[in-house]
Amino acid sequence: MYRTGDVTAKAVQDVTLDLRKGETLGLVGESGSGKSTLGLALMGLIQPPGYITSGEITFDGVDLRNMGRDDLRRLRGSKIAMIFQDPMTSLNPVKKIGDHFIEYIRAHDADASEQKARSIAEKALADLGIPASRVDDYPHQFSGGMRQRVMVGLALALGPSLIIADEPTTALDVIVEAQILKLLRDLKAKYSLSLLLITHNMGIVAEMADRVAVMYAGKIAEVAPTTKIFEDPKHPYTKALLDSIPNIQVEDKVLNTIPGSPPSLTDPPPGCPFHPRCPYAFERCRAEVPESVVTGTDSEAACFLLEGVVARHSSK
Amino acid sequence: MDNVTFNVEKGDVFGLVGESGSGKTTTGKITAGLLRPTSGQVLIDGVDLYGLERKKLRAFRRKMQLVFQDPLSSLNPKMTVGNTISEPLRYLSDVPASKRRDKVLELLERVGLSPADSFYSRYPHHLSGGQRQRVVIARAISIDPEYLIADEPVAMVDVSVRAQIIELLLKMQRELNLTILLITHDLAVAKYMCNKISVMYLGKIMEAGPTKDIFANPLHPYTQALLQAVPIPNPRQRSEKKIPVGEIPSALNPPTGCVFHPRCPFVFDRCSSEIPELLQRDTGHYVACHLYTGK
Amino acid sequence: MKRNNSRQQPVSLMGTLLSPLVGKGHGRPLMLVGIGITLFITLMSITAPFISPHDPTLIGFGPPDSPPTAQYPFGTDQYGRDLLSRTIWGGRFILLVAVTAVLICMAVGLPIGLVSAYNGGNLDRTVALVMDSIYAFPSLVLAIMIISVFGVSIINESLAIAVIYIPTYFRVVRSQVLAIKEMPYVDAAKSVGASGPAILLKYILPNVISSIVVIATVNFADSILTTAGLDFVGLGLSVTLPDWGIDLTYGRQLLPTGAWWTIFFSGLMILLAALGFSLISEGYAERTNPKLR
Repeated sequence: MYRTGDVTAKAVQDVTLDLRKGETLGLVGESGSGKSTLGLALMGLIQPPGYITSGEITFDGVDLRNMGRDDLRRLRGSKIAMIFQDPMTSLNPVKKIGDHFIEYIRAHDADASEQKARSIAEKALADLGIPASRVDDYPHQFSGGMRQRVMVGLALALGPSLIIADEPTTALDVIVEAQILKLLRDLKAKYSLSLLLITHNMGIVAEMADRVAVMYAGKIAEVAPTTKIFEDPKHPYTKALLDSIPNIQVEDKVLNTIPGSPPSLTDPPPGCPFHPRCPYAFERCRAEVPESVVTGTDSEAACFLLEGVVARHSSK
Repeated sequence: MDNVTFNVEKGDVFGLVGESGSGKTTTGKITAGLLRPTSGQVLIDGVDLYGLERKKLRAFRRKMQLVFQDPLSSLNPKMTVGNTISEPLRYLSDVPASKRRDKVLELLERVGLSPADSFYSRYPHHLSGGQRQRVVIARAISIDPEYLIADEPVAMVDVSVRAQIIELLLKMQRELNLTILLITHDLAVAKYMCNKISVMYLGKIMEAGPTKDIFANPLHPYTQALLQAVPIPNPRQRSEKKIPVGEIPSALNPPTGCVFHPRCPFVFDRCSSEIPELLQRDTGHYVACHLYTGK
Repeated sequence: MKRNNSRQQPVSLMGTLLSPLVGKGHGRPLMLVGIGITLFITLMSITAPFISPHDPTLIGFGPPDSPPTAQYPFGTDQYGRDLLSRTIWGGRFILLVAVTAVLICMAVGLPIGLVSAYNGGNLDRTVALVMDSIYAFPSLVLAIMIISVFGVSIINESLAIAVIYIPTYFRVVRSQVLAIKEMPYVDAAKSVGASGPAILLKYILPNVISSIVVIATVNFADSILTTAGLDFVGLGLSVTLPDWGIDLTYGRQLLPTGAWWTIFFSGLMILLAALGFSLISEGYAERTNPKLR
């Protein structure tokens, strides 16, 4: 939650999520859904005015919340790495690209010689499709797409097993976006990584993710394998969202408009956060917050409409 | 920008599609009378916009309005919603001061901001992105314009709200018989809203024509690349994409010949030396590419 | 032909100016303390004739250079004048000069900044150059020069200080206007037919106003110090007029004799006055800054 003055915004509430080794999990949500906050929390990067009030963050069996600052720092980069949205401001304009790598590597391994660090940097650039000769260039000499590649390279430099990418292509043009997504796919396969891909773009998760978690107003609305989410969405929000997105491959699609707007996190509606906009809302939705209900293998959704279904299934 | 020519007919929803640096926003501004072109003309109903003197230009402003990309920065943060929408009425219409408030309330209802009374006195920072964009649209249609120039109208609006704004724009288009120039990088939105499209790259038009034709049969390698690159919300459609290498070059130092040639998978000799003209290939379908010239 | 909108103008301007006063949050305690101090000093100065125990100009009223006692709680200066009375009275001149200076600054710096920056071009560049030259001058030296030439009086001191600060107002206003000028809502204003003056008044000025308050308060604080500085150098008003700056001067001379009270109370008041305004400025700036998230 974020607190300023007497105003509190609960960015993420009651979220239970697991990310499996080697998978790409797409975390989808709009602005205010809490997806970025979740990503930051996983890296231990929540700072005041943000606070983590409760819960566990377990990585490889260890609860990150109990880790000391130094341990967390060592974890970041070598085990979990993050790629942010804006490549323009993520790089230090007065440092050469190579130096970014060297500093980063040495921050984690003080004994690394400059030679060693430099060779890791050059190898990383090769992975990214950037000529090794550019290791001495400055960020402003790189284009936006290349800078984002550098970010990807930096994230991978220390050999982490999990990459968290928060809107990695939102600031990029369509074709460059395709390049970066391909890069992520290729590197993930090459190094057997796990990827948490945070985005608001359903097209991207359709292309990249094995499973998708949909967030709304700080809560998880639905989690399911990708094909299932697109072909048989269970949560009204997921359904409505998919119906409202124009798709260049679908002829004569009629866009479904969702009334209202995403709720304010400082003054959320009671009960289910989606109920003011939900075409199926009934009394209970206004009063209670729905818990997640299992809807199939590896699938769950938080909606009262589903409880009847499950009950029917289990009574057979 | 170079040699950009296109015709928009009354009632069209004409899309200017391109990535950053394509010149689409600049073109939009020029057609809106906000930016003087170094050469060339903007003819609206046969009249050259930049040849008019002030008084006449004002009369023309009544005919066209703009909807901008960022709803927050296109509204004066110190002006209430009501005052903002009244502004065009004040300067460009004959509606007397006493009747303005009523007209604004009517407009607010029309764009779906209800109850109009309560929205009238609110400030932009109290509204959500979608609501702000509705205010911008209300302001734009307040004086019954004939042309609307919409620059990325939904790019900065929440995903679940985009459909509302898209449908609102189309609804206004139908009700007021508007001609809309839609500037966007989002191909899916362009396909949905526009009946004609021009694809721009680095200040030039690569391909233009009816939307259906362009999407069904993209001729220009750049258009083909764009269509391939767009992430499709359908997991069954995953395929190996043919993605052009490199990025959009700087407009300060454009490539010779065809501006796309350094990245084009079909490039040959002529492409780097000669600029391809925009030629008609099928009815209404134009393309600027040497694959199609001189055959 | 009256503009219907002029009714709205004052409301939105005042609203903008005063809104940081309400609601909780960061800078508020700071600002309130600043307002408190300033209010105290202002009230004290205004009611001086009524609350001052003795006449501050009476020479030989009490024993010269006597330390604080029950009869003279702040002690006396070398002319035997009661320092408590002098302290209570001492702010009037300084505050008057500061207020006048700030008003002149705003009346001159604001319009010039607005119009010059909005119109841009070579005229704007020239004006900016002139302003920068004035700005580059060491302020106290400039003030001394002006006073020496034109003589000492309230209006002259105010003018001298105003001249020093107008470039600052101009710069701040100009940089804000240059930024706001490019905002889409200004483009929107043009496309709905608004003209230059209307745009300046309704679209640009209201968005620039809050930064002016910050500058004004910093300006106040600084004018107080500069006026005191001028007195210190001997360019203050009549020697008999009670003035913290003058007391500071003599207090300094007396220091070697161990007479700490003269310099202490006058110095303290100057400090408090400057602090009061600075706190308002800090608090206000923090409040009007777009906050997190």
